[in-house]
Amino acid sequence: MTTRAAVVGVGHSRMFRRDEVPLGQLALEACRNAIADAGLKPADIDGVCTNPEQGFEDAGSIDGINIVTPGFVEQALGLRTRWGLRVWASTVLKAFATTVDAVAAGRCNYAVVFRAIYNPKGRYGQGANPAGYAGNGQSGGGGQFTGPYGVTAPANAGLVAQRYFHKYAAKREMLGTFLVNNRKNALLWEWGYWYQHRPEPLTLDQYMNAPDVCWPLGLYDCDLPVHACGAWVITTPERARDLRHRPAYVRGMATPYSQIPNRTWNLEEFEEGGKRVAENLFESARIGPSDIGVANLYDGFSIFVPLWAEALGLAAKGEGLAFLIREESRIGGRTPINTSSGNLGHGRMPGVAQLMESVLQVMGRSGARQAKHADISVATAGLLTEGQAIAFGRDPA
Amino acid sequence: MPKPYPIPDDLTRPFWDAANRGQLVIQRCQSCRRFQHLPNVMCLSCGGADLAYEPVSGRGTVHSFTIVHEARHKAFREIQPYAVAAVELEEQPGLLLLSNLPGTPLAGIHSGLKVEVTFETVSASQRLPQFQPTGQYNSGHVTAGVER
Repeated sequence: MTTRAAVVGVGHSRMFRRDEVPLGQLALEACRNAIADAGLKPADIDGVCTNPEQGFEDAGSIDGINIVTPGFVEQALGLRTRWGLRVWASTVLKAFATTVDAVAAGRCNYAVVFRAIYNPKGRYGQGANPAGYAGNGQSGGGGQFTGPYGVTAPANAGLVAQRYFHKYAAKREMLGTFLVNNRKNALLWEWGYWYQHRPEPLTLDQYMNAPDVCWPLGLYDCDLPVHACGAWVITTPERARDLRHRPAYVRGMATPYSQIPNRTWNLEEFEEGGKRVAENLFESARIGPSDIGVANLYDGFSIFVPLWAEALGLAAKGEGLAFLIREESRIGGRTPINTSSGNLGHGRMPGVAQLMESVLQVMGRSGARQAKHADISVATAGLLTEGQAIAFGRDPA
Repeated sequence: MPKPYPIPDDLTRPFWDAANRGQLVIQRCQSCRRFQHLPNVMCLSCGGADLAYEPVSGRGTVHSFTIVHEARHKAFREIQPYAVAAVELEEQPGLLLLSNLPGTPLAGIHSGLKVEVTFETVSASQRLPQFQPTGQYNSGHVTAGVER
Protein backbone atom coordinates (compact mmCIF):
# COMPACT_ATOMS: atom_id res chain seq x y z
CA MET A 1 0.00 0.00 0.00
CA THR A 2 1.44 3.36 -1.00
CA THR A 3 -1.19 5.54 0.68
CA ARG A 4 0.35 6.77 3.90
CA ALA A 5 -2.30 8.95 5.54
CA ALA A 6 -6.05 9.34 5.83
CA VAL A 7 -8.53 11.87 7.18
CA VAL A 8 -10.66 10.35 9.92
CA GLY A 9 -12.52 13.35 11.31
CA VAL A 10 -13.83 16.72 10.16
CA GLY A 11 -15.14 19.55 12.29
CA HIS A 12 -16.35 23.10 11.94
CA SER A 13 -17.23 25.86 14.35
CA ARG A 14 -20.36 27.96 14.32
CA MET A 15 -20.28 30.42 11.43
CA PHE A 16 -20.23 34.18 12.08
CA ARG A 17 -20.12 37.09 9.67
CA ARG A 18 -17.84 39.07 12.03
CA ASP A 19 -16.00 38.65 15.33
CA GLU A 20 -18.92 38.34 17.72
CA VAL A 21 -17.11 35.41 19.39
CA PRO A 22 -13.36 35.24 20.04
CA LEU A 23 -11.66 33.33 17.25
CA GLY A 24 -9.83 31.08 19.72
CA GLN A 25 -13.14 29.81 21.03
CA LEU A 26 -14.24 28.91 17.50
CA ALA A 27 -10.94 27.16 16.81
CA LEU A 28 -11.45 25.00 19.90
CA GLU A 29 -15.00 24.23 18.77
CA ALA A 30 -13.79 23.11 15.35
CA CYS A 31 -10.91 21.02 16.72
CA ARG A 32 -13.07 19.38 19.39
CA ASN A 33 -15.72 18.59 16.76
CA ALA A 34 -13.15 17.05 14.40
CA ILE A 35 -11.59 14.96 17.19
CA ALA A 36 -15.01 13.75 18.37
CA ASP A 37 -16.04 13.06 14.76
CA ALA A 38 -13.10 10.67 14.52
CA GLY A 39 -14.16 8.97 17.72
CA LEU A 40 -11.03 10.18 19.48
CA LYS A 41 -10.28 12.28 22.57
CA PRO A 42 -7.91 15.25 22.84
CA ALA A 43 -5.58 12.98 24.82
CA ASP A 44 -5.08 10.90 21.63
CA ILE A 45 -3.89 13.90 19.58
CA ASP A 46 -0.11 14.26 19.36
CA GLY A 47 0.28 16.55 16.36
CA VAL A 48 -1.06 20.06 15.60
CA CYS A 49 -0.67 22.41 12.66
CA THR A 50 -2.19 25.51 11.10
CA ASN A 51 -1.43 28.59 8.99
CA PRO A 52 -2.58 31.39 11.34
CA GLU A 53 -1.93 34.45 9.16
CA GLN A 54 -5.00 36.30 7.93
CA GLY A 55 -5.57 37.33 4.33
CA PHE A 56 -5.47 41.07 4.90
CA GLU A 57 -3.06 43.53 6.44
CA ASP A 58 -3.51 44.99 9.92
CA ALA A 59 -5.40 41.92 11.12
CA GLY A 60 -3.51 42.08 14.41
CA SER A 61 -1.59 39.27 16.04
CA ILE A 62 -3.23 38.56 19.40
CA ASP A 63 -3.40 34.80 19.76
CA GLY A 64 -6.99 33.71 20.27
CA ILE A 65 -8.45 36.99 18.99
CA ASN A 66 -6.92 37.91 15.61
CA ILE A 67 -5.13 34.66 14.89
CA VAL A 68 -5.01 31.19 16.41
CA THR A 69 -1.65 29.43 16.60
CA PRO A 70 -0.92 25.73 17.09
CA GLY A 71 0.26 26.64 20.60
CA PHE A 72 -3.11 28.12 21.53
CA VAL A 73 -4.94 24.92 20.65
CA GLU A 74 -2.27 22.74 22.24
CA GLN A 75 -2.57 24.61 25.54
CA ALA A 76 -6.33 24.99 25.57
CA LEU A 77 -7.03 21.35 24.72
CA GLY A 78 -4.19 20.09 26.92
CA LEU A 79 -2.58 18.25 24.04
CA ARG A 80 0.70 16.43 24.54
CA THR A 81 2.16 16.91 21.09
CA ARG A 82 5.15 15.15 19.57
CA TRP A 83 4.91 17.27 16.42
CA GLY A 84 3.56 20.74 15.71
CA LEU A 85 4.15 23.44 13.12
CA ARG A 86 3.05 26.96 12.21
CA VAL A 87 2.94 27.22 8.41
CA TRP A 88 3.09 30.45 6.42
CA ALA A 89 0.47 30.18 3.69
CA SER A 90 -2.80 31.75 2.65
CA THR A 91 -4.86 28.62 2.10
CA VAL A 92 -5.08 25.69 4.51
CA LEU A 93 -4.00 23.15 1.88
CA LYS A 94 -0.31 23.68 2.61
CA ALA A 95 -0.75 23.18 6.36
CA PHE A 96 -2.92 20.16 5.61
CA ALA A 97 -0.34 18.64 3.24
CA THR A 98 2.47 19.22 5.73
CA THR A 99 0.42 17.46 8.41
CA VAL A 100 -0.15 14.51 6.06
CA ASP A 101 3.63 14.32 5.57
CA ALA A 102 4.27 14.44 9.33
CA VAL A 103 1.84 11.58 9.96
CA ALA A 104 3.25 9.58 7.03
CA ALA A 105 6.78 10.08 8.40
CA GLY A 106 5.77 8.78 11.80
CA ARG A 107 6.35 12.11 13.57
CA CYS A 108 2.93 11.82 15.21
CA ASN A 109 0.05 9.34 15.26
CA TYR A 110 -3.07 11.51 15.28
CA ALA A 111 -2.75 15.10 14.14
CA VAL A 112 -5.26 17.91 14.08
CA VAL A 113 -4.93 20.61 11.44
CA PHE A 114 -7.20 23.65 11.53
CA ARG A 115 -7.78 27.02 9.87
CA ALA A 116 -9.30 29.92 11.82
CA ILE A 117 -10.40 32.97 9.85
CA TYR A 118 -10.84 36.35 11.51
CA ASN A 119 -13.18 39.06 10.26
CA PRO A 120 -13.21 42.23 12.36
CA LYS A 121 -16.02 44.75 12.38
CA GLY A 122 -15.99 47.41 9.69
CA ARG A 123 -15.27 47.21 6.00
CA TYR A 124 -12.85 44.45 5.01
CA GLY A 125 -9.44 45.81 4.09
CA GLN A 126 -10.47 49.39 4.85
CA GLY A 127 -8.18 49.74 7.85
CA ALA A 128 -5.50 52.39 8.12
CA ASN A 129 -3.31 50.51 5.66
CA PRO A 130 -5.31 48.85 2.92
CA ALA A 131 -3.42 46.15 1.06
CA GLY A 132 -0.60 47.54 -1.04
CA TYR A 133 -0.43 50.94 0.58
CA ALA A 134 1.88 52.20 3.26
CA GLY A 135 0.25 54.34 5.91
CA ASN A 136 1.46 57.59 4.37
CA GLY A 137 -0.33 57.02 1.08
CA GLN A 138 2.76 55.83 -0.73
CA SER A 139 3.26 52.44 -2.33
CA GLY A 140 6.54 50.67 -1.81
CA GLY A 141 7.91 47.24 -2.59
CA GLY A 142 5.98 45.28 -5.19
CA GLY A 143 3.01 47.54 -4.49
CA GLN A 144 4.74 50.45 -6.22
CA PHE A 145 3.55 49.08 -9.57
CA THR A 146 -0.05 48.43 -8.50
CA GLY A 147 -0.97 50.82 -5.66
CA PRO A 148 -0.62 54.02 -7.73
CA TYR A 149 -3.07 52.56 -10.26
CA GLY A 150 -5.71 51.70 -7.66
CA VAL A 151 -5.40 47.97 -8.26
CA THR A 152 -7.19 45.74 -5.74
CA ALA A 153 -7.68 41.97 -5.64
CA PRO A 154 -11.13 42.27 -7.24
CA ALA A 155 -9.60 44.50 -9.94
CA ASN A 156 -7.10 41.76 -10.69
CA ALA A 157 -9.93 39.24 -10.90
CA GLY A 158 -11.82 41.64 -13.17
CA LEU A 159 -8.85 41.75 -15.54
CA VAL A 160 -8.80 37.95 -15.70
CA ALA A 161 -12.57 37.73 -16.21
CA GLN A 162 -12.69 40.38 -18.96
CA ARG A 163 -9.87 38.62 -20.79
CA TYR A 164 -11.62 35.25 -20.45
CA PHE A 165 -14.94 36.61 -21.72
CA HIS A 166 -13.25 38.34 -24.64
CA LYS A 167 -10.94 35.47 -25.63
CA TYR A 168 -13.48 32.68 -25.38
CA ALA A 169 -16.67 34.57 -26.26
CA ALA A 170 -18.16 33.68 -22.87
CA LYS A 171 -20.85 35.78 -21.23
CA ARG A 172 -21.68 37.11 -17.79
CA GLU A 173 -25.00 35.26 -17.99
CA MET A 174 -23.05 31.98 -17.99
CA LEU A 175 -21.22 32.92 -14.82
CA GLY A 176 -24.57 34.00 -13.36
CA THR A 177 -26.19 30.69 -14.27
CA PHE A 178 -23.37 28.86 -12.52
CA LEU A 179 -23.82 31.06 -9.43
CA VAL A 180 -27.58 30.54 -9.31
CA ASN A 181 -26.92 26.80 -9.14
CA ASN A 182 -24.05 27.28 -6.71
CA ARG A 183 -26.44 28.97 -4.28
CA LYS A 184 -28.64 25.87 -4.46
CA ASN A 185 -25.59 23.88 -3.35
CA ALA A 186 -24.99 26.43 -0.59
CA LEU A 187 -28.44 25.73 0.80
CA LEU A 188 -27.38 22.08 1.21
CA TRP A 189 -24.12 23.00 2.97
CA GLU A 190 -24.98 23.24 6.65
CA TRP A 191 -21.71 24.83 7.84
CA GLY A 192 -21.82 27.78 5.45
CA TYR A 193 -22.73 31.43 5.79
CA TRP A 194 -25.64 31.38 3.34
CA TYR A 195 -27.15 28.20 4.82
CA GLN A 196 -26.97 29.49 8.38
CA HIS A 197 -27.64 33.20 7.97
CA ARG A 198 -29.35 33.87 4.65
CA PRO A 199 -30.96 30.67 3.34
CA GLU A 200 -32.34 32.28 0.20
CA PRO A 201 -32.01 31.37 -3.48
CA LEU A 202 -30.22 33.58 -6.00
CA THR A 203 -31.94 34.46 -9.28
CA LEU A 204 -30.24 35.30 -12.53
CA ASP A 205 -31.94 38.73 -12.43
CA GLN A 206 -30.47 39.39 -9.00
CA TYR A 207 -27.07 38.38 -10.28
CA MET A 208 -27.23 40.50 -13.43
CA ASN A 209 -28.58 43.56 -11.57
CA ALA A 210 -26.24 43.38 -8.58
CA PRO A 211 -23.78 46.25 -8.09
CA ASP A 212 -20.57 46.02 -10.08
CA VAL A 213 -17.46 45.51 -7.98
CA CYS A 214 -14.88 45.38 -10.72
CA TRP A 215 -16.74 45.00 -13.99
CA PRO A 216 -17.31 42.45 -15.45
CA LEU A 217 -17.43 41.02 -11.93
CA GLY A 218 -20.22 42.02 -9.56
CA LEU A 219 -21.24 41.50 -5.97
CA TYR A 220 -22.06 37.78 -6.24
CA ASP A 221 -18.78 36.95 -7.99
CA CYS A 222 -16.88 37.77 -4.80
CA ASP A 223 -16.78 35.65 -1.64
CA LEU A 224 -17.96 37.09 1.64
CA PRO A 225 -15.55 37.56 4.57
CA VAL A 226 -16.60 35.47 7.57
CA HIS A 227 -15.37 34.51 11.03
CA ALA A 228 -15.10 30.78 11.78
CA CYS A 229 -12.81 27.75 11.90
CA GLY A 230 -12.58 24.34 10.22
CA ALA A 231 -10.51 21.34 11.36
CA TRP A 232 -9.46 17.84 10.32
CA VAL A 233 -7.90 14.84 12.05
CA ILE A 234 -5.29 12.89 10.11
CA THR A 235 -3.72 9.53 10.95
CA THR A 236 -2.11 6.54 9.24
CA PRO A 237 -4.25 4.14 7.14
CA GLU A 238 -3.58 1.37 9.69
CA ARG A 239 -4.91 3.43 12.62
CA ALA A 240 -7.71 4.83 10.46
CA ARG A 241 -9.31 1.42 10.00
CA ASP A 242 -10.26 1.16 13.68
CA LEU A 243 -12.03 4.53 13.89
CA ARG A 244 -15.61 5.66 13.55
CA HIS A 245 -15.94 6.51 9.86
CA ARG A 246 -14.76 5.07 6.61
CA PRO A 247 -11.47 7.00 6.12
CA ALA A 248 -10.76 9.48 3.34
CA TYR A 249 -7.41 8.33 1.98
CA VAL A 250 -4.99 11.02 0.84
CA ARG A 251 -4.09 9.86 -2.65
CA GLY A 252 -2.02 12.73 -3.99
CA MET A 253 -0.95 16.29 -3.25
CA ALA A 254 0.40 19.23 -5.24
CA THR A 255 1.67 22.16 -3.20
CA PRO A 256 4.25 23.99 -5.35
CA TYR A 257 6.00 27.13 -4.19
CA SER A 258 5.46 29.34 -7.20
CA GLN A 259 4.17 32.59 -5.85
CA ILE A 260 5.19 35.67 -7.77
CA PRO A 261 4.42 38.46 -5.31
CA ASN A 262 2.51 41.57 -6.27
CA ARG A 263 2.15 40.53 -9.87
CA THR A 264 -0.92 41.63 -11.76
CA TRP A 265 -3.11 38.60 -12.35
CA ASN A 266 -3.22 37.52 -15.95
CA LEU A 267 -5.37 34.87 -17.63
CA GLU A 268 -2.58 33.23 -19.55
CA GLU A 269 -0.37 32.88 -16.47
CA PHE A 270 -3.31 31.43 -14.54
CA GLU A 271 -3.85 28.88 -17.30
CA GLU A 272 -0.20 27.83 -17.27
CA GLY A 273 0.00 27.78 -13.47
CA GLY A 274 -3.17 25.73 -13.08
CA LYS A 275 -1.91 23.23 -15.64
CA ARG A 276 1.31 22.77 -13.67
CA VAL A 277 -0.59 22.16 -10.42
CA ALA A 278 -2.88 19.64 -12.16
CA GLU A 279 0.02 17.76 -13.75
CA ASN A 280 1.75 17.65 -10.39
CA LEU A 281 -1.40 16.30 -8.72
CA PHE A 282 -2.05 13.66 -11.38
CA GLU A 283 1.53 12.45 -11.16
CA SER A 284 1.39 12.33 -7.36
CA ALA A 285 -1.98 10.54 -7.21
CA ARG A 286 -1.42 8.49 -10.37
CA ILE A 287 -4.83 9.50 -11.69
CA GLY A 288 -6.14 11.37 -14.70
CA PRO A 289 -9.02 13.78 -15.29
CA SER A 290 -11.53 10.99 -15.97
CA ASP A 291 -10.88 9.46 -12.53
CA ILE A 292 -12.24 12.56 -10.76
CA GLY A 293 -15.73 11.83 -9.48
CA VAL A 294 -16.34 15.12 -7.71
CA ALA A 295 -14.29 18.31 -7.42
CA ASN A 296 -14.40 21.29 -5.09
CA LEU A 297 -12.51 24.04 -6.87
CA TYR A 298 -11.34 27.26 -5.27
CA ASP A 299 -13.57 30.24 -5.94
CA GLY A 300 -12.40 33.30 -4.03
CA PHE A 301 -13.71 34.92 -7.22
CA SER A 302 -16.19 33.04 -9.40
CA ILE A 303 -13.98 33.24 -12.49
CA PHE A 304 -11.46 30.89 -10.84
CA VAL A 305 -13.86 27.93 -11.06
CA PRO A 306 -13.90 27.50 -14.87
CA LEU A 307 -10.13 28.03 -14.88
CA TRP A 308 -9.56 25.26 -12.32
CA ALA A 309 -11.98 22.97 -14.21
CA GLU A 310 -9.99 23.57 -17.39
CA ALA A 311 -6.64 23.10 -15.65
CA LEU A 312 -7.76 19.72 -14.29
CA GLY A 313 -8.90 18.63 -17.75
CA LEU A 314 -12.58 18.46 -16.74
CA ALA A 315 -13.28 20.88 -19.60
CA ALA A 316 -11.31 21.98 -22.65
CA LYS A 317 -9.54 25.34 -22.59
CA GLY A 318 -12.09 28.12 -22.85
CA GLU A 319 -15.00 25.76 -22.23
CA GLY A 320 -14.97 25.71 -18.44
CA LEU A 321 -17.96 28.00 -18.09
CA ALA A 322 -19.99 26.01 -20.62
CA PHE A 323 -19.15 22.87 -18.60
CA LEU A 324 -20.20 24.51 -15.34
CA ILE A 325 -23.70 25.27 -16.56
CA ARG A 326 -24.33 21.74 -17.87
CA GLU A 327 -26.15 19.07 -15.83
CA GLU A 328 -23.04 16.88 -15.66
CA SER A 329 -21.31 19.35 -13.33
CA ARG A 330 -24.28 19.69 -10.97
CA ILE A 331 -25.26 17.57 -8.00
CA GLY A 332 -26.69 14.38 -9.50
CA GLY A 333 -24.54 14.79 -12.62
CA ARG A 334 -21.53 12.75 -13.69
CA THR A 335 -18.86 15.05 -12.19
CA PRO A 336 -20.44 17.48 -9.75
CA ILE A 337 -18.42 20.63 -9.11
CA ASN A 338 -18.42 22.62 -5.87
CA THR A 339 -20.96 20.49 -4.04
CA SER A 340 -19.87 22.46 -0.95
CA SER A 341 -20.73 25.73 -2.76
CA GLY A 342 -17.10 26.76 -2.19
CA ASN A 343 -16.01 30.09 -0.75
CA LEU A 344 -18.95 31.72 -2.53
CA GLY A 345 -21.44 29.73 -0.46
CA HIS A 346 -19.44 28.96 2.65
CA GLY A 347 -17.65 32.26 3.16
CA ARG A 348 -14.07 33.44 2.67
CA MET A 349 -12.15 30.54 4.26
CA PRO A 350 -9.78 29.56 1.44
CA GLY A 351 -9.58 25.78 1.16
CA VAL A 352 -11.82 24.98 4.14
CA ALA A 353 -15.11 24.05 2.42
CA GLN A 354 -13.14 22.55 -0.48
CA LEU A 355 -11.19 20.19 1.82
CA MET A 356 -14.12 19.37 4.11
CA GLU A 357 -16.43 18.36 1.31
CA SER A 358 -13.78 16.45 -0.64
CA VAL A 359 -13.20 14.37 2.51
CA LEU A 360 -16.92 13.88 3.21
CA GLN A 361 -17.61 12.84 -0.40
CA VAL A 362 -15.16 9.91 -0.43
CA MET A 363 -16.30 8.97 3.09
CA GLY A 364 -19.81 8.76 1.63
CA ARG A 365 -21.14 11.29 4.14
CA SER A 366 -22.31 14.11 1.86
CA GLY A 367 -26.01 13.27 2.11
CA ALA A 368 -28.11 15.23 -0.40
CA ARG A 369 -24.87 16.46 -2.00
CA GLN A 370 -23.39 12.99 -2.44
CA ALA A 371 -21.80 12.37 -5.85
CA LYS A 372 -22.60 9.13 -7.65
CA HIS A 373 -19.00 8.22 -8.38
CA ALA A 374 -17.10 9.56 -5.41
CA ASP A 375 -14.16 7.15 -5.64
CA ILE A 376 -11.81 10.09 -6.16
CA SER A 377 -12.44 13.68 -5.05
CA VAL A 378 -10.23 16.70 -5.66
CA ALA A 379 -9.91 19.94 -3.70
CA THR A 380 -8.04 22.97 -5.02
CA ALA A 381 -7.21 26.29 -3.43
CA GLY A 382 -5.38 29.50 -4.18
CA LEU A 383 -4.72 31.62 -7.23
CA LEU A 384 -3.86 29.29 -10.09
CA THR A 385 -0.32 30.66 -10.32
CA GLU A 386 0.33 29.65 -6.72
CA GLY A 387 -2.38 27.04 -6.24
CA GLN A 388 -2.54 23.73 -4.47
CA ALA A 389 -4.54 20.57 -5.07
CA ILE A 390 -5.20 17.43 -3.04
CA ALA A 391 -6.86 14.19 -4.19
CA PHE A 392 -8.73 11.87 -1.83
CA GLY A 393 -9.74 8.27 -2.43
CA ARG A 394 -12.51 6.07 -1.11
CA ASP A 395 -9.85 3.37 -1.08
CA PRO A 396 -6.11 3.48 -0.48
CA ALA A 397 -3.70 2.96 -3.36
CA MET B 1 -6.99 63.47 -1.35
CA PRO B 2 -3.86 62.76 -3.38
CA LYS B 3 -3.49 59.35 -4.96
CA PRO B 4 -0.80 57.06 -3.58
CA TYR B 5 2.53 57.41 -5.31
CA PRO B 6 5.32 54.90 -5.80
CA ILE B 7 8.37 54.64 -3.56
CA PRO B 8 11.30 53.67 -5.81
CA ASP B 9 13.88 51.25 -4.46
CA ASP B 10 17.36 50.28 -5.62
CA LEU B 11 15.94 47.83 -8.12
CA THR B 12 13.25 50.05 -9.60
CA ARG B 13 14.74 53.56 -9.40
CA PRO B 14 15.83 53.67 -13.09
CA PHE B 15 12.24 52.94 -14.16
CA TRP B 16 10.83 55.77 -12.05
CA ASP B 17 13.66 58.21 -12.86
CA ALA B 18 13.01 57.62 -16.55
CA ALA B 19 9.30 58.28 -16.04
CA ASN B 20 10.24 61.64 -14.54
CA ARG B 21 12.15 62.38 -17.76
CA GLY B 22 9.11 61.38 -19.81
CA GLN B 23 10.64 58.13 -20.95
CA LEU B 24 9.37 54.57 -20.60
CA VAL B 25 12.16 52.09 -19.92
CA ILE B 26 11.80 48.36 -19.28
CA GLN B 27 14.30 45.98 -17.78
CA ARG B 28 15.90 43.79 -20.45
CA CYS B 29 18.15 40.75 -20.18
CA GLN B 30 21.42 41.43 -22.00
CA SER B 31 21.95 37.68 -22.54
CA CYS B 32 18.63 36.43 -23.95
CA ARG B 33 17.31 39.91 -24.89
CA ARG B 34 13.93 39.36 -23.22
CA PHE B 35 12.16 42.27 -21.60
CA GLN B 36 10.70 41.73 -18.15
CA HIS B 37 8.32 43.68 -15.94
CA LEU B 38 8.21 43.72 -12.90
CA PRO B 39 11.92 44.37 -12.40
CA ASN B 40 13.94 41.58 -10.82
CA VAL B 41 17.58 41.02 -9.85
CA MET B 42 17.79 38.23 -12.43
CA CYS B 43 16.22 37.30 -15.73
CA LEU B 44 13.27 35.01 -15.05
CA SER B 45 13.61 33.52 -18.54
CA CYS B 46 17.28 32.49 -18.70
CA GLY B 47 18.61 33.22 -15.23
CA GLY B 48 20.98 35.85 -16.55
CA ALA B 49 22.18 38.51 -14.13
CA ASP B 50 23.14 41.13 -16.71
CA LEU B 51 20.07 43.32 -16.87
CA ALA B 52 19.67 46.86 -18.15
CA TYR B 53 16.80 49.29 -18.53
CA GLU B 54 16.17 50.05 -22.21
CA PRO B 55 13.77 52.57 -23.75
CA VAL B 56 10.72 51.09 -25.44
CA SER B 57 8.32 52.54 -27.98
CA GLY B 58 5.57 53.20 -25.46
CA ARG B 59 3.07 51.77 -27.94
CA GLY B 60 0.82 48.87 -27.09
CA THR B 61 -2.69 47.49 -27.03
CA VAL B 62 -5.20 46.91 -24.25
CA HIS B 63 -4.78 43.24 -23.27
CA SER B 64 -7.50 43.25 -20.64
CA PHE B 65 -9.29 45.81 -18.51
CA THR B 66 -11.71 46.22 -15.65
CA ILE B 67 -13.86 49.05 -14.34
CA VAL B 68 -13.37 49.46 -10.61
CA HIS B 69 -16.52 50.46 -8.73
CA GLU B 70 -15.27 49.50 -5.25
CA ALA B 71 -11.82 50.94 -4.55
CA ARG B 72 -9.83 50.43 -1.37
CA HIS B 73 -7.76 53.61 -1.16
CA LYS B 74 -9.67 56.77 -0.28
CA ALA B 75 -8.27 58.75 -3.20
CA PHE B 76 -9.56 56.14 -5.61
CA ARG B 77 -12.91 55.90 -3.83
CA GLU B 78 -13.34 59.59 -4.62
CA ILE B 79 -12.90 59.04 -8.37
CA GLN B 80 -14.55 55.63 -8.83
CA PRO B 81 -15.61 54.18 -11.20
CA TYR B 82 -12.24 54.17 -12.95
CA ALA B 83 -10.48 51.85 -15.37
CA VAL B 84 -7.54 49.56 -14.75
CA ALA B 85 -6.08 48.18 -17.96
CA ALA B 86 -3.24 45.77 -18.62
CA VAL B 87 -1.42 47.14 -21.66
CA GLU B 88 0.63 44.74 -23.77
CA LEU B 89 3.66 46.56 -25.18
CA GLU B 90 4.35 45.99 -28.88
CA GLU B 91 7.94 44.92 -28.11
CA GLN B 92 7.02 41.50 -26.75
CA PRO B 93 3.89 39.33 -26.32
CA GLY B 94 2.85 39.13 -22.68
CA LEU B 95 4.85 42.22 -21.66
CA LEU B 96 2.17 43.91 -19.58
CA LEU B 97 2.03 47.31 -17.85
CA LEU B 98 -0.87 48.74 -15.90
CA SER B 99 -2.67 51.95 -16.70
CA ASN B 100 -5.84 53.80 -15.78
CA LEU B 101 -6.17 55.10 -19.36
CA PRO B 102 -6.70 58.65 -18.00
CA GLY B 103 -8.97 60.85 -20.05
CA THR B 104 -10.43 57.91 -21.96
CA PRO B 105 -14.22 57.50 -21.70
CA LEU B 106 -14.91 54.21 -19.90
CA ALA B 107 -17.34 53.15 -22.62
CA GLY B 108 -14.64 53.56 -25.23
CA ILE B 109 -12.26 51.01 -23.74
CA HIS B 110 -12.05 47.62 -25.43
CA SER B 111 -9.63 44.75 -25.87
CA GLY B 112 -7.17 45.50 -28.63
CA LEU B 113 -7.49 49.30 -28.27
CA LYS B 114 -4.23 50.85 -29.49
CA VAL B 115 -2.60 53.04 -26.86
CA GLU B 116 0.58 54.99 -26.26
CA VAL B 117 2.39 56.05 -23.15
CA THR B 118 1.89 59.35 -21.37
CA PHE B 119 2.99 60.45 -17.92
CA GLU B 120 0.80 61.51 -15.02
CA THR B 121 2.17 63.67 -12.23
CA VAL B 122 1.21 61.95 -9.00
CA SER B 123 3.42 63.80 -6.53
CA ALA B 124 5.89 66.64 -6.43
CA SER B 125 8.67 64.16 -7.09
CA GLN B 126 7.13 61.46 -9.22
CA ARG B 127 5.43 60.93 -12.56
CA LEU B 128 3.64 57.74 -13.40
CA PRO B 129 3.54 55.97 -16.78
CA GLN B 130 -0.02 55.91 -18.09
CA PHE B 131 -1.49 55.14 -21.50
CA GLN B 132 -4.08 56.75 -23.72
CA PRO B 133 -5.56 55.93 -27.11
CA THR B 134 -3.04 56.49 -29.92
CA GLY B 135 -3.22 59.84 -31.63
CA GLN B 136 -5.16 61.54 -28.87
CA TYR B 137 -2.18 63.73 -28.07
CA ASN B 138 1.08 64.34 -29.89
CA SER B 139 2.75 60.99 -30.01
CA GLY B 140 6.12 60.82 -28.31
CA HIS B 141 5.70 64.09 -26.48
CA VAL B 142 5.53 64.33 -22.77
CA THR B 143 2.08 65.29 -21.57
CA ALA B 144 2.71 66.58 -18.13
CA GLY B 145 0.26 66.02 -15.34
CA VAL B 146 -2.68 64.36 -17.02
CA GLU B 147 -5.48 64.89 -14.57
CA ARG B 148 -8.97 63.52 -14.65
